[in-house]
Amino acid sequence: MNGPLLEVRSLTVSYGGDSVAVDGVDLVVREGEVCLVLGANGAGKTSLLRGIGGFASSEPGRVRGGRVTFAGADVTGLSPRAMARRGLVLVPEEAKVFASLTVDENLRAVPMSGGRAARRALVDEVTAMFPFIAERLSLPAGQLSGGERQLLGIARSLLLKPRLLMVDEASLGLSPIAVEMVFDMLRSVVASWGTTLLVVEQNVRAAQSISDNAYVLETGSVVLSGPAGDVLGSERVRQTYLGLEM
Amino acid sequence: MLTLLLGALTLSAIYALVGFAWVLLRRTNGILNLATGAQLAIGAFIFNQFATSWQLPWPVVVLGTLATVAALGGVTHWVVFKKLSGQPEFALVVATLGLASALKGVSSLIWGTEARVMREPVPSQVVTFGDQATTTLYGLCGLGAAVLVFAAAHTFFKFSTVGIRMRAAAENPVLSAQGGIAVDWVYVLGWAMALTVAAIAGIMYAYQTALSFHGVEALGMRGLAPALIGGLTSVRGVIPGALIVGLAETFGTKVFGGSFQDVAAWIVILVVLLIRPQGLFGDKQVQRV
Repeated sequence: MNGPLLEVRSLTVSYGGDSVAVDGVDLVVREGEVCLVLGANGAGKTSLLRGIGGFASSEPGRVRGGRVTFAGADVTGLSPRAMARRGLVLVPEEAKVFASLTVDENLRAVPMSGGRAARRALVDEVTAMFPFIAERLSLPAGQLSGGERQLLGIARSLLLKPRLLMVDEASLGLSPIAVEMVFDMLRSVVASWGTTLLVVEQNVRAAQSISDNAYVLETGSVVLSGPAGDVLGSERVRQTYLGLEM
Repeated sequence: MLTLLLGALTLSAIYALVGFAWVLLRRTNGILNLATGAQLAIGAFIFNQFATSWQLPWPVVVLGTLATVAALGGVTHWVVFKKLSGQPEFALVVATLGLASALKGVSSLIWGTEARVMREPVPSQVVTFGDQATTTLYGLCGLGAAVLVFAAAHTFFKFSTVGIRMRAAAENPVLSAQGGIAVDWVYVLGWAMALTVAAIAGIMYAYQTALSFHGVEALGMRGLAPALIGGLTSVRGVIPGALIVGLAETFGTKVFGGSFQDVAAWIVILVVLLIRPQGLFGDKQVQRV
């Protein structure tokens, strides 16, 4: 088994005041695996990803306690930009693309590393994975469908050559067909790039096929964790998230 | 009549430059910069220092002014506004008000409060079109500067990678940071560019009138009108805004007398706020928390 790429120890995230959104979460993601975080609305899933990926100084959110280790280095409380440059990249839940910029400009806005030829090759490789991009290059990203926006967000993040890609609610607001499209894409990213994934999802059915390990969050704390099959097969998850009667 | 129209046009060119400075900072840095007027004046005084006081060669004057003003803009972000990031816009606006009076104080300490005449690269002269339409050479220079600045800005924001990243950061700074963009440098660039354009406007105006802190600053504040007509965040909207204000001021002064000059722009601002607060080209601002 591979070593841990991301190690989170007793992470606490707060948005000011006394209340905490994430309360002492422990989480480990190993190199090459797909890790799923489940939880109801307000359980702290997004705050957990933001706490790992860093808050901008203009935001109210702060890491109040705990430690985040990424690729062997302590990265607790670094800025989102510093995280992205280390290869820890977040595809956020709300706005994933710049709506007023064209598809092409969305890709060009990504500061890529490496020489000109290497950057060109990476852009070609990524756009080849997303056929719709070539057809919509000059369209404002705000006019894309929800699924296309999600895919463009993933394409943008791939240009940063992520070692760990965190995807927040990829299926939110998408049609079943679009959800399938997005998860097919994530599957092929894992298969062909070997990218490690940390995925937050409410759509358990969509996520279970690609996940190795799973964590269940409730009110900011982990209440259940283990191999995805065991966690998703547990009575608690089946009742709460799949709506199955026992 | 044609002379009046030409006068309105050259005045509009100056207003377009001032409006650009307002809009750029509001759009890129998210700040309604009430120090715009003071920064126009400071830019013109720095130019005057290079040109008149030190009598330097013209290329040195131009490059020296641009470099000093741009650096001043960068310092403004690092020293003041970086520390205020995350504060509500209200706090930032108050900070710009403080900045304005600080600049005014510095200016009167260094350069005094009397109006000055700037050294001219070429003698000021009247240019005649056709039979009766006349304007000044410096009026035409201002028009040329405005065309140049807008063409350069259009090219920069549309085609250059840095320009595209500035637009990205203007739309969503958090997503930009998550995507690896150095948002602080975007803000530095925003201030530097705004102050540079403000200085160009201040210099052009000083050449057409005289160099006094009060006069140039007042023009800078009136430049809020074209920016507001355009919607405060639309660079394109500044152009019709500047034409409207330029025409209103020129013809208003003709009809109601010289004192109307100071109020024309403010009347336009009030009318715009009453009829169409989001401006002609303003986006409806949707804030997500």
